[in-house]
Amino acid sequence: MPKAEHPAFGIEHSAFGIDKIRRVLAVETLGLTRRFGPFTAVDNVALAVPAGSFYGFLGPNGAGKSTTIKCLTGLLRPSSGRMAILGLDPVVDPVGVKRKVGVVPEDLALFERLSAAETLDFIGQVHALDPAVVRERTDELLALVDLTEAADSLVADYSHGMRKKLSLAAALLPGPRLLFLDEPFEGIDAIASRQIKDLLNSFVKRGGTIFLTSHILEIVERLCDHIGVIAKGRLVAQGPIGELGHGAGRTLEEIFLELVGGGEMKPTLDWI
Amino acid sequence: MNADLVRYFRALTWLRWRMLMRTLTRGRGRDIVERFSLAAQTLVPIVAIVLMVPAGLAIGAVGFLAGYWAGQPSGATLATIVQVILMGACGFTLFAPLVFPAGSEAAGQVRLLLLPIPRGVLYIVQTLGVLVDPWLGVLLPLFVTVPLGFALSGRSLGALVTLVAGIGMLAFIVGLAMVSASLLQLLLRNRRRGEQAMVAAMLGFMLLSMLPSLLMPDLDDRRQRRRSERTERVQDDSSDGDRRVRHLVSLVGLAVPPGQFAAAARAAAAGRPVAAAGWTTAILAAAAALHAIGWRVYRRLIETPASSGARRIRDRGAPARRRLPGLSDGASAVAWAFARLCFRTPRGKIVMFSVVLTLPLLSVLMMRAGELPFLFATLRPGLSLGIFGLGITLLSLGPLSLNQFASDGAGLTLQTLAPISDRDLLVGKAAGGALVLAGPAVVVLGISIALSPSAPFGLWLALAFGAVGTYAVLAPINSVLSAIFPRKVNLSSIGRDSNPHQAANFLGFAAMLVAAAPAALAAAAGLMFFKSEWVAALLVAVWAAVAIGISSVALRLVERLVATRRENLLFVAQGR
Repeated sequence: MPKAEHPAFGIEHSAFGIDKIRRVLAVETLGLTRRFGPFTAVDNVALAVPAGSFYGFLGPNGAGKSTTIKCLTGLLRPSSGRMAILGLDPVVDPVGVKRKVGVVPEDLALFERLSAAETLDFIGQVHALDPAVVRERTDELLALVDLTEAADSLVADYSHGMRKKLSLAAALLPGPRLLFLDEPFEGIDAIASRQIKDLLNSFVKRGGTIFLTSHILEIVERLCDHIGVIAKGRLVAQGPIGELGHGAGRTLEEIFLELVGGGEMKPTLDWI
Repeated sequence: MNADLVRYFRALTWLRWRMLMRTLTRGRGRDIVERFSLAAQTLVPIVAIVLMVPAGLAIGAVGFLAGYWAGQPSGATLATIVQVILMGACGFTLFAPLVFPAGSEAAGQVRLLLLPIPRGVLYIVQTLGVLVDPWLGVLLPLFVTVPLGFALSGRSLGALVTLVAGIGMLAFIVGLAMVSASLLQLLLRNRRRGEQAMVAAMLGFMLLSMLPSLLMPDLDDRRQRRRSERTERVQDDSSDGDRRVRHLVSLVGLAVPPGQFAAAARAAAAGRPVAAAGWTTAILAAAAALHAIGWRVYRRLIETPASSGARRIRDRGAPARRRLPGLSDGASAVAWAFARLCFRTPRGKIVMFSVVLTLPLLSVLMMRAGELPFLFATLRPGLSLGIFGLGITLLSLGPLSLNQFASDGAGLTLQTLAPISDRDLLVGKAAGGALVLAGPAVVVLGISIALSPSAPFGLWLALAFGAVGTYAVLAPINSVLSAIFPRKVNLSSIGRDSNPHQAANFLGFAAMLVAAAPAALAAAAGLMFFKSEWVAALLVAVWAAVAIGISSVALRLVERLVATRRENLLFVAQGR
């Protein structure tokens, strides 16, 4: 992947050699495209997510955020383009990539008929973790997300927020180096939200990388150090949040609306 | 108010119609395999709807002739047929919500509650909406043609009575539909309670359906005895007894509206207007009472449409996790997840219960049948029971194994995100199926051996090996059918919502017969050429080993298919 071909590399990154870039990027894509029939959901996206960063992936509804995450996590096969997740190609070595990443997907990916404890045990078993380690981590994670009392209830009986917390616990259990989180704070109460934010920050401080999508710009503003903005399937901006003009008298909302063109819309519903 | 009522009625009728049409137009497939799968799935409802037209015409014709010939000897049988049709309609109305679950309608109830429609009006328009359900359309001609038959035979009183009684009967059936659907939805608001009721109802139906078969031969014997006694004595006590029983049955029949409808028609035909009016009033009163109950239940439902009950909190223990012999961690995890899905859903529970419940019936039937010819051998009752029982056991897994990917729902995404290879996924599913089947299969074999303890042990071994070989062949076939014909299912339902794709069902049944044939032929060869049950067992064991080898190779081919179908499977599992 020659440096000149990669439009996503900023000035900071381009100072490195190609090998070094590969080492420092947790996620990189080139020309990532996904079509559904005639509709192009993700169009020639070139992502560069530095290792150890908290990367916020923003975009309006239907912009292609979830499709991009699905391509990166192996749930969808890209129509064209290349990807590298922690240096591995998820198309060539999907199992290898899955061993290193944790995912909270859009549909939360939980078995309705397993309990929280069994779900985490399932994850532990497929990652070939020692049962004692799984037990210990399960206790800690369930306590963290406040699901200890409901640990043996079936997921079918959980509220949306409980499911979300369990999905996050399942993503964290194997100790991944990279987390993909699709709207992780949606439906989570304020207390759990605070706990999860602290947890994610500490994950990043310890060298982990987080790739997060969220509609809540305040959360992204507070947590993320890098952002990427996608609109109509195309990546319209990417880089450290400060370099995109944030902090220089401009909020992330203003930057976002400017990038996706939403600021031009004016309500015309006079009859309301 | 009237204009509002008409508007709401039109809107809800349109809604019902659109829902019906949506079952016929299931969207465009994402590829040619999915388009084929969807087309095959659409075929059955289309055929069902097309068949409703001749059924409606036939029922209308029966009603017309029953009215036209009422009071004549030839009309008596037709009147009985009308009564049976009405009884059948009431029975269907009462139990249909169990088979065609209304659980998904709970969300619709919430949406309706958010609309500016008064609750009383909502009940009325929902009630009227039942009238446009297609199955009721089959019945409607009856209520028109019976009075028409009376009118054309020149009996205007009969026409009037049957018209009013027919309206009452229709109101009764609609009320019954509202009560049963609302009661079921009330029950299903609590998942656990609803599922327990579903399983109990299904098992109850199964037990009831077995009763005639269990009792029939005794009844036949009794009838035979009575016939011979009648030839000896023209009059005896038992015919008095028969008359008493018949009288009792007719009294019970008259207590319910279908019998009252027939009684009203008979009274009108006989020129007894007071009796006819009395029966008609009874029908109208029953309908009114039912709607009073229906309104109460419906109001209770819409006041709290989405209660799910409290979660059950238990003491925590470590989840039972065992790595299955010869399987990787990933495959073992998939196998346990599959087995848990089966043990914890009503449809899955029925897989096991149905086999165990069917055994007593099969045992009795096999004992009555005595020794049965099977290829080149004669089977003792226990062996016959073993063959049929194991066959039923393998078939019973169909709802899960023939839709093994989509039935996981969002769990399929979890498995896809986990570091599990496609091979581990397939092997895990096959092993999970074997785990589920092991219990019922052992019970079947145990009861079979108890039934014919003196049967040669070699044949029992052959039977067990045959089951293993058959399942080994079936496992990859079921995976293929699940990958080609996935269907979003609700395993909390015991009806069609939990059924696999019809094409998968049909082909899965055919595949089971084909898969079982080599084991049967191997056993027959051992018995015919070597005259030894031990050789038969050995040959079947060799076949089982070969079948496991074939299955292992076949699973490698299926891996590729699953890899190409993965996206579609995920979409279908998510209901997209």
